[in-house]
Amino acid sequence: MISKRKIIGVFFLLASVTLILGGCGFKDIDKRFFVVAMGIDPGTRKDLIKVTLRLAIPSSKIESGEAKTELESLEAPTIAEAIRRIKSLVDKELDFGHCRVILFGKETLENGVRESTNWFLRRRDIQMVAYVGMAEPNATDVLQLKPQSERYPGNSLILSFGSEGTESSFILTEYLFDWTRRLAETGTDGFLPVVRVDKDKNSYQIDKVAFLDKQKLRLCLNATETQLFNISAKKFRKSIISVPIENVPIVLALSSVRTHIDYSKGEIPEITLRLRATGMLEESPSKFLNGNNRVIEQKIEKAFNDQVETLLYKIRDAGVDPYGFGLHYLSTYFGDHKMWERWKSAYPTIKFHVKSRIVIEETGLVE
Amino acid sequence: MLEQIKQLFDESTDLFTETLDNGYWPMEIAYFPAMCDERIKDGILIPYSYRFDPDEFRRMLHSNPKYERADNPDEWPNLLLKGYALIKLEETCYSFKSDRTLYTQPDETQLESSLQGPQSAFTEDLELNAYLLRKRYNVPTLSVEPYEKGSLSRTAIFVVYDRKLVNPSVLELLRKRLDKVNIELLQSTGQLIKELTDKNHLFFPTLLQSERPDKVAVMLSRGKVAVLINGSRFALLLPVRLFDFMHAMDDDYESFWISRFLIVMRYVAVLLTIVLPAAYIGIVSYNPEIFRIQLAFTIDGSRAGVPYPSFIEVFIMLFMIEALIEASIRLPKSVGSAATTVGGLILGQAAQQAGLVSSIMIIVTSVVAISNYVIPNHTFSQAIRLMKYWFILISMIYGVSGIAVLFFALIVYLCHLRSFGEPYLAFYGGQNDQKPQSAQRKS
Repeated sequence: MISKRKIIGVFFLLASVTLILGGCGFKDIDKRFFVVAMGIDPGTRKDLIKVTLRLAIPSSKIESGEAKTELESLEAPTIAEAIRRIKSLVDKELDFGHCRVILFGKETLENGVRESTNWFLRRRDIQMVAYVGMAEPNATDVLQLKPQSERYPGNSLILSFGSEGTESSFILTEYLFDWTRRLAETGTDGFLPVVRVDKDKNSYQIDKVAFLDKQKLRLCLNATETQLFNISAKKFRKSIISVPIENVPIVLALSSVRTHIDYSKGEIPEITLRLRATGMLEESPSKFLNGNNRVIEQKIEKAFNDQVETLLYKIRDAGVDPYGFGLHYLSTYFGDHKMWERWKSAYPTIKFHVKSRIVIEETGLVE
Repeated sequence: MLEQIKQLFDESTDLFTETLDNGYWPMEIAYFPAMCDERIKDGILIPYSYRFDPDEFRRMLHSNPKYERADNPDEWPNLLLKGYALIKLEETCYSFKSDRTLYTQPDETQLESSLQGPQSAFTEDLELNAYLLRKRYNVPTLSVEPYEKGSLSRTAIFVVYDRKLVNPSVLELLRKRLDKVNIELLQSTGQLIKELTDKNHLFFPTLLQSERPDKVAVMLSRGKVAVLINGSRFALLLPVRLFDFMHAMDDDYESFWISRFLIVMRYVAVLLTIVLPAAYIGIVSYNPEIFRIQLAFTIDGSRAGVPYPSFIEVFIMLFMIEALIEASIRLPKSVGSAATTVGGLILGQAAQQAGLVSSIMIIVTSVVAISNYVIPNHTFSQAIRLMKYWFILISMIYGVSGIAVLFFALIVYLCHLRSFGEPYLAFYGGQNDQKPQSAQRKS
């Protein structure tokens, strides 16, 4: 019996010791200040970084437009220092557990991106499923916006990304884990959705994508190109292909997209992007081209091929590879480290062919 | 004889002793009127008095199984106390079995009620219980071993098993443990459980109590041993596994998918009732990122007015619900519903509005209380009820990871438990469970 008591005693001793050693892990939810979004901008001086935190002020009542947030921004040489300084500005413990959106200011990305990403990777409390984006003109301005439709702090921006809320073909979703992978991986480059404040100052405008190589920002696409990229690279289903045929606007709403990439052998490989998209005609005059779907399909195919090819060349000329052609090439072709050197020298002059197959599944609920 | 008995039962005024004389034979008679029933009139008094025929009376003494020779004076007090009448005729003593039984029909199930299964339950009378069991398990191999335990109560015990199916080592162990039982008043199966289990401070019951004869019959067919106690309306079953405690008889009676659904739901409920209050503490105070973001903000908002840390909040609410449960057992039925309304609805609502607890905590408490009663076995449900406090303690110190580790430790502990030598957490019943099928096929 005595030995048993001893064991129990030792157990409680250990428990209490580790409690002391554990420090202040115990912190009630109402003593925490949740960071819902975070922005990184360059500081006023060259060696400073401006960190902006959007902090949630929770309330038990959830109503549209009632969400309250507090914005704290501070300049410091590093993010870690800035965060520690911000802690002295707020009354509760900062909690990054719900930091779902990380925005890099455009200028930061133009200066170089690796150092600032590092901090997010090392912290275990930042979720790797956080959304990453580029803020234009800078992160602070974007984070300052408080949309009317916001139900709880930060919800508007969170719902814009991913497939939880709106699913727009213009919004690309980039997660922190994928973003860091793309920064490190040979043969593929990162992309970031561009978040701007809408003209009416009441919502976010996310309809562009920015491409970066391993160092800095290289290219920004416009909205139409963004959608094309979303279809051809991300196989995004809920998008449209809009082509004017004989000056008549035809819009095909996609329901499924499949792509396949082929490489030709040779000194400079040629890339064939095969794409099969099925969908439904959303905009079309009735009895267009005598209702011959195959003809319409072929005309869409031709125009679409041209659009995508132009886009591919534009991306190639910017020197980035967000499609991951290089990675794909390296993984499918047997070779040594020289292979990568060869690819790098070949990429600027590489040739693209787009072969799409458009299938009109239905023409909608028209007679 | 009478002198001897009077000496033994000095001052027991409820003992009836008399020397009767019908003019032919004198007869000494002694019995407790309170413990004997009307059979004494038909069995002794009428044949002795106005229907008296010496030859017939003698024949009756020898042929009626209720009469037995009682020559040993040491046995007399025992017989009298068991409700026998003692008579002495022509220098020989006889005992006449005339014990009063209050129970003539089976009880209704109270703790383990079933919707469409049999409604009869064991009674507090051993004989009737044995009948109920024989009626449901109607084979000649059903063996009954009688015991008597308790130095003051001298409670009769039946050890019942199917001798073709029973595991002899379990039976041997039971006999050994029964021999060691040292108790003054044996009044309920719970006492016997304490005596039969080798370790006293187990967190989980390793013997199953059941009031349902159909359940006992099913268990007998799986080679288990049942122990019936006089004066208790529960049978003890051994050896058992954890899964037997989670098994309601309705599972056997309902259709396949319904019973599967109910079983799964029951295990989910057990998990909830153990882990939920602890998880509340762990998530609210250590890892709020586990919540969805909306929920985190709602809880944050509703907890804003709560002055105490989360674990005090949990203790306040759990104390209230435990007190309510305990009170509702003792309360008279007519007041019971009023008390639960006041306790459950009004108090919970008021506590939340007063800012003493958050609104989520009210939900947590209710889920815990309801889920706890999903468990079909009362003893097990009590064990689970206690279990959640360990989890609360550990989550106060270590948060969510503590809960995970303790849950693992709990499984290890369950694996270590034995019920009469059989593993407690065995998924399949081993030898014993497979035996009945093969035995049935053979016979």
